[in-house]
Amino acid sequence: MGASIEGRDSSILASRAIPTTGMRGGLGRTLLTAFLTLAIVPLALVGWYALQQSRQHLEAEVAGKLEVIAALQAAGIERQVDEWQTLLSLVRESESTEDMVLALSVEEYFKYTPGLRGIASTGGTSQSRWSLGNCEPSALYLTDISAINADEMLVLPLPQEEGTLFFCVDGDFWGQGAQTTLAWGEATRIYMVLPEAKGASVETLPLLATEKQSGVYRNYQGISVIGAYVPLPQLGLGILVEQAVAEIDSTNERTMATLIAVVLGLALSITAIVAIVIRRITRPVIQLTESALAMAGGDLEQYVPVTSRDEIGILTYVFNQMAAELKSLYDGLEAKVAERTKLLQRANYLIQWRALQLEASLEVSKAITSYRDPNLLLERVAGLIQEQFIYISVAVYLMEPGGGAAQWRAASPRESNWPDRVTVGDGTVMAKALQTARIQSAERTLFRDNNPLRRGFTTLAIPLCMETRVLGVVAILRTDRETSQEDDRAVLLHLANQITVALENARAYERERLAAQQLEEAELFKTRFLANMSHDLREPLNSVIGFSRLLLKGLDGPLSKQQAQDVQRIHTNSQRLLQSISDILTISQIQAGLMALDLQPVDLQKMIGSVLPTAEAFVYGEPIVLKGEIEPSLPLVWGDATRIRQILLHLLSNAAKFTERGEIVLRVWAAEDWAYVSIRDTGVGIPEQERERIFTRFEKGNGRQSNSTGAGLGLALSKQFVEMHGGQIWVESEVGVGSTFTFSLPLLPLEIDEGE
Amino acid sequence: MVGAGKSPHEATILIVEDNFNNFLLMTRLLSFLGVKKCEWKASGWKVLEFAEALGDIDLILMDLMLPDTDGYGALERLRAHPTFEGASIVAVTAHSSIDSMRRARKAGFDGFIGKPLDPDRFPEQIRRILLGEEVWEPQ
Repeated sequence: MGASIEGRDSSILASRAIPTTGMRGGLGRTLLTAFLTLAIVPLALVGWYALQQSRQHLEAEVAGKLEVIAALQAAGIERQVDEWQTLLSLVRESESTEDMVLALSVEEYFKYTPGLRGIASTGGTSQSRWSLGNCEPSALYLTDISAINADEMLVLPLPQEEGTLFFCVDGDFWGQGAQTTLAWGEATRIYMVLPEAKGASVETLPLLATEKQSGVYRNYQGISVIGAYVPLPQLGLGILVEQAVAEIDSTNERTMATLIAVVLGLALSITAIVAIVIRRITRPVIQLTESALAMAGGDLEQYVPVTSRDEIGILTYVFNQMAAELKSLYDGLEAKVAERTKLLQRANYLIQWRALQLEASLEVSKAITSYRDPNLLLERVAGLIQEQFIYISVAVYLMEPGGGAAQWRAASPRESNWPDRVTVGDGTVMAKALQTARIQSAERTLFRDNNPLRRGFTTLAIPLCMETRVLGVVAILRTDRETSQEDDRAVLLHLANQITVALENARAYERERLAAQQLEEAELFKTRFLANMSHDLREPLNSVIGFSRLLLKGLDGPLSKQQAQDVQRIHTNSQRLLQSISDILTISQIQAGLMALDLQPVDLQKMIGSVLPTAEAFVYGEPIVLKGEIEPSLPLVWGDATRIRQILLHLLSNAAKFTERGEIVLRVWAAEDWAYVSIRDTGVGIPEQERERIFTRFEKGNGRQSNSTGAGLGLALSKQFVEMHGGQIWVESEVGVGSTFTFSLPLLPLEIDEGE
Repeated sequence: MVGAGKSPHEATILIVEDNFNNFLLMTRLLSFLGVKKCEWKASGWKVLEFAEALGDIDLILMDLMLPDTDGYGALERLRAHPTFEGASIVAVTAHSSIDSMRRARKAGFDGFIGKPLDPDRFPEQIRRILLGEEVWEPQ
């Protein structure tokens, strides 16, 4: 039966390849095992118990029997020995009385005592040591009297007051009778035992007590036996009767065999019955399983016949119902799936449309941020919206400055038919959107209802709103589509917002650009104005300086001292005015970014050679020594010769201005990539808090105004020029001791040719 | 420079200047140098107008801010005129910035002297120019 289950299982496994557990004969096996265990185990236990009981009973019985045998034997021996002893005492007495009648010869004695071979006495006095007949006193610890040969001798010790009396008897004296007279088993043995028997097994010894005993043990031959012991105190020995347990059990074995047969029969019949029951239970279960597997495989057309009215029957019935329901559900599901698929397709279409819109929105956003010209921006945006959203046409209107009307600014395609101007109240959707600041739409239809070419069109107007202001409107003409207009509207509104912001940005940028341009123009104008002004100031100065100099030179006749002084003042102040004009012009040029250096290799040594004589004029007539300390083989510097000359003259004239006596030393040296020029004077010096300020425009050291001249532009200009070269200028000074101005200029890089 | 090597005594110098005072100053200063022949014209047009009458000119000292046309326009015309083939043309201007000087050099002037003139240096500058040296001194 189990095999048939397994066979089906494996075929199912092979065909469906669906793993099944628990059906590989599991139920049958479990049930069978349970039934067998339930039936056989108690039966076997009961049988075993009964066997044990009967065995114990038998053993007790045998022990009793053996005790009786032992007692009988003992009694027999006792009586015999008594008889011999009495006889012996009679013989001894007759010897002493010398009564011939009564006197019995030893020979006679032995004649009347068959079986007795001799008597011996040991121990005690020499008188008491004697023997009669053939008797050798010895200690036989264990003698099998039931199996001893006739020619062997049995020695019976009889303890006396002095010594021991021994009776030597024929071996078979007791044994023969015993075999025949008593109904004992073949394996029954009778032993004569000295209590301290050395041949007995250890297990026997407890038996060899003064009382009669019985028990089961292993005898000296190693055989399991039942033994009974009866002591003979008078003789100083005992009788032990043993029967092998095996012999006793032989009767029991038959009972055992019967019992096993019964148990086996029972087991077989139980197996058969259980097999039938299990088959009845498992067959529908297997059928259900197969059907369930088939269902799992997709075949929902399942029916399992109901064969019984028990729980299995109910289960099958319920299973059939479930299968039917599943099938109907499944059929419904297919219809639902078809429906859902359709919905999904539509959703998918919508999502794609949205993605398209987003992409378009992104494109438009990108375009919006990359155009600064509002007109270009609007054109591009109209084009992009029309192209990306696949509209028929798109136009952009911008509000006129006065409001109330909007002007057409851009359209895509260009030739599309949009009004040039919309006015609030003219009834167009654009005008409505302008007025309401809300998205507006109008629909119209081409062809009649039943015409297959019939199509719906929608004009949408999306206002471009900045806070509460309406800047313009985006107008769209589109065919009616499957997608909802609301979606489009959201995206378009978003785009409109972006366009508005971009438009505002573009306008702001334009304003900003105009402002910057105006500023630039103003700066240029200022510079030009200053240039012209300085020219116009210089022209008359030319005459003032020129003629005053002629006067001073006395070329127009000698001057009085006072006249010469006055003319000198005119001349000096004209010079100062000229310098100021020229500095102001230069500064304004630098500010306007018009001043560029004319960089060339410059030989500083040569330049200083020409500057020093000019500077001599600054100290002419003063107690000041002008010195130049120039490092020999000074490398060329990379600079604008004119500007460097200006810097040198500025600093030298400055030094001369603030020095009353002493020296002015111009030192030039080179270190690493730079040339350094320092001009040290022994002038008034500059207090620390003013050292930074003197380089800013229109500033010069305080407290020296009384004896100083110049507008203070020289140092500011020098700083500008040095920094334009990439160099630095700084001052070290100590009030009352002097000042040192130092500036750096870049040396000519080696790779630049001098002729460049 | 064709007029190179002439001594101040032999040289003829044309001053193109709209400010009479300045012309006067220059002639006074030139006279210290020993210049004998000094011509004066108030504008470029005037120079061209009377070019034939001017004869041989060794040096033209030209203001750049002139009433009719600026010095650059005048320079082009003078250069094109046969009368002034051998003449050095030096700009003398109150636009005495470095940039002006550079512009003048680019335009084709033979020298540049900034105004106001340094009365001490001016005769020397002219002497050097007459000797054929180039003078580019805005200040």
